[in-house]
Amino acid sequence: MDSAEETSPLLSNQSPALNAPTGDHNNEVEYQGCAACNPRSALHRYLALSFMCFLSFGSYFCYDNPSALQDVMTEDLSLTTAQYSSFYAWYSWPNVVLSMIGGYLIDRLFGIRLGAIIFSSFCLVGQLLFAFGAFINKVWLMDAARFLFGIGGESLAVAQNTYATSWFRGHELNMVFGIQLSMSRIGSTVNMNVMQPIYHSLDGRFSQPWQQLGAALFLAAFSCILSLGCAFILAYIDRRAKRLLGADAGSTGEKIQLSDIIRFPAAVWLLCGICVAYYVSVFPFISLGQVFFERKFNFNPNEADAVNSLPYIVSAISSPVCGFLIDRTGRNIMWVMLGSLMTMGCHACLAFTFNLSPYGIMIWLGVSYSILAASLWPLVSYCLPNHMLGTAYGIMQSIQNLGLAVINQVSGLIVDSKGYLILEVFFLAWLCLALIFCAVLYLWDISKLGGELNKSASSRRKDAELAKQATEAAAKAADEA
Amino acid sequence: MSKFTFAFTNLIEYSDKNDKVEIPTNPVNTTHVYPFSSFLWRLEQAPEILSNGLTQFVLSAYSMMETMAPEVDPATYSVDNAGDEQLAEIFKKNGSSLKLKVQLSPTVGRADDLPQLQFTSNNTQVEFQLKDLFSSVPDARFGVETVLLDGTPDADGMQREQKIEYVLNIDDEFTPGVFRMSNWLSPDSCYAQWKPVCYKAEKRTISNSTVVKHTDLVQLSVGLTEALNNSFAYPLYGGDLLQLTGARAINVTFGIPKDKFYAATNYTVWTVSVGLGQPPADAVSTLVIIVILCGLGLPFLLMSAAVIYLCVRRCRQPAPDGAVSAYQPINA
Repeated sequence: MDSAEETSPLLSNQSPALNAPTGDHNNEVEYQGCAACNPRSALHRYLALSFMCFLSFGSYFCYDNPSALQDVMTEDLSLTTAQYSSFYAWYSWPNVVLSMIGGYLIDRLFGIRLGAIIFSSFCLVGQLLFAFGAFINKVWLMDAARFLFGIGGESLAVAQNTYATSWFRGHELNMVFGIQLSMSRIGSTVNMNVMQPIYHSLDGRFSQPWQQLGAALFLAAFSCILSLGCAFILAYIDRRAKRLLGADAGSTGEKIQLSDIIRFPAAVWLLCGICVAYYVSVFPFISLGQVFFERKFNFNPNEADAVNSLPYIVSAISSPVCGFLIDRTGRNIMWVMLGSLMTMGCHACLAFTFNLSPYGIMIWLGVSYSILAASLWPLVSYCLPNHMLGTAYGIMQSIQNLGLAVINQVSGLIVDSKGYLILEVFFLAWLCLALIFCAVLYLWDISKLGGELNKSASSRRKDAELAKQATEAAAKAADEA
Repeated sequence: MSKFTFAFTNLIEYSDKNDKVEIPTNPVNTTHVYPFSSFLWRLEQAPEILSNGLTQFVLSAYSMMETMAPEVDPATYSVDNAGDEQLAEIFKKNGSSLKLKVQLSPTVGRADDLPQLQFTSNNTQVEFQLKDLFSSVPDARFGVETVLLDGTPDADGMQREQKIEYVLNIDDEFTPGVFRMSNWLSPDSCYAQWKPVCYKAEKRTISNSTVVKHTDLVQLSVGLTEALNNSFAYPLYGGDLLQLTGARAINVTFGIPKDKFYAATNYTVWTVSVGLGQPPADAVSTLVIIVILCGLGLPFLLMSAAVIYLCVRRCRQPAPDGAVSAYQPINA
């Protein structure tokens, strides 16, 4: 029986012909249009990827506006250091809890498309209010606005992760995470370089300096409009792809329950542990790094600043590359271990030697951060079904935010009382903890999942092939029955 | 009998026009030199034994004119030793002081305050504090000239060659943010030791710390020996101090460019430790070693155990090939 003849469209010249479904797997629409619009094709995936990247560009761009405009903000609004820091505190501390809630809402209530649109809108409204607060010189309004912006920003990152996994699972997932990491750095860097010129281009147009600041922040909000646009476009593309691929009809329509969270596999909690243990050994170090390089290596402030920002610059370039590499080889757990070990090497060199060049060490740190970030986040998708991913990413992000907020404070205290060597040893201890979690994850993977998480890329491809053949054979059998 | 002298000889006030924290080498009329011999000293705190076993006393400098406190017009200054009127100027502000806090310890230990230099039974620590000194120019900085005098010849009967060496240390536990020690040695005889850090505020933290620099060692000049002749060094060494080849001087400056000069905080405190013999060296402290062993050693032990367990388990599993086949061959 030639089932291919049975299932081919009657009117093959028209596009896209809706074919009468003869079996469950044939809910998909036979697609005749251009490759870029074909949801099955890689080109279409990359088109969607470009929108995914710019989805959170606005939030990364606007997140660091206070840092880029620190001197003019402090002057125009007559801010104390505490008031300036509160712009970041109002973003970070609520997000200890909000990321988790946002992820759960995406899974449970909104769905990924509506969720991305809603959180994008929060970012936009938050930034507009922030600009308005600056325009009328009301710092309390700016704080409230940063809180709103924070609700949007972190949950939008969760949405972005969920989109990426949904589109690229089984394809170039690691590289996609690498590219998204890169975009976050690019957004931040563009912000640092562009906001001062924007601010100064408005010189002389306003009577009050805070009005000029407000106007500059309004202009920054255009990046949030761009992100919101991407959210709408992605919603359309995603809905269309699901319709054409019949994925929605095929899914069980399951929604996550609160009780599911407690029953998350141990791997998910281990991944959260690795995430927080690793990130708290990198970001608090960079925030204290400038003075460290000035004191230990006798750099002047400009040199110290340049060395300190090297990991960000390097990771913007190396993340997609490392992601691509990890896609080719698989074995994510090994890569996570490698990233942790490399970072331990960096901290050990900085702590115990004087002679090694800090430039090289910080570049090394950037590369190891890329390796870890590109290999860690996709592991979550191998542990959980699609409808639980938003919540899982939200929880991971929440725990990470909590860890960063607490350890940032603790690091400051350690440095003031016990010096930088003890601080570096502290970070090394956290990295050891990350390695331990990794080892436990590896052992758990072998015993519970038969090595599923740490599979090489070639064996994953083989498995996918086998699964595809199995479903085709089952469908054939169903047809013939 | 070993003897040596460490002396603060001159307080130097200079206008740092180029913001380079360097005392101008050519005489300029904005540089004032106040010899310590022209200060009067009161014992602000009598010698007492503190609860931590240290003996401590505090000397505070004042000028003869202090009690008279006339309103002195800023006159044209000269580089030569300032008169009492000019000296009174720097103490014009209320609460201004130049203090020396001296601490000794009968045992080996560390000071309580940053930079927490080490005590041996053979050394003394001096904390040099400048508080609220007045200056008529906004870009004024203060420096101090110090002298190390050592008349003890070495084993061959030659005068010792003094030198300043810098010791690097990865452990900044006792002085957070400082990884170097400066040792001014008269080799095998005596030393002055300090960490190249001074503090700009009474609360000593990394953010309040700043750099201490010094000039190269120079021989005593005529002016210096005049100052020393009026000090305790004279009865110790007698005669012509210029003949003493085992004597060197340096100028010590405080601050870095762009830190808004002395007037930013109106406070500087610098600690120097002077003693006989070899300067104590900072070793990596036991706390660091314990933390490293626990923080890194334990996890690696765990990991090694896990790896060994895995290997053993793998070795114990029956080999997939070489096992007896379940099938019997049909054709024998």
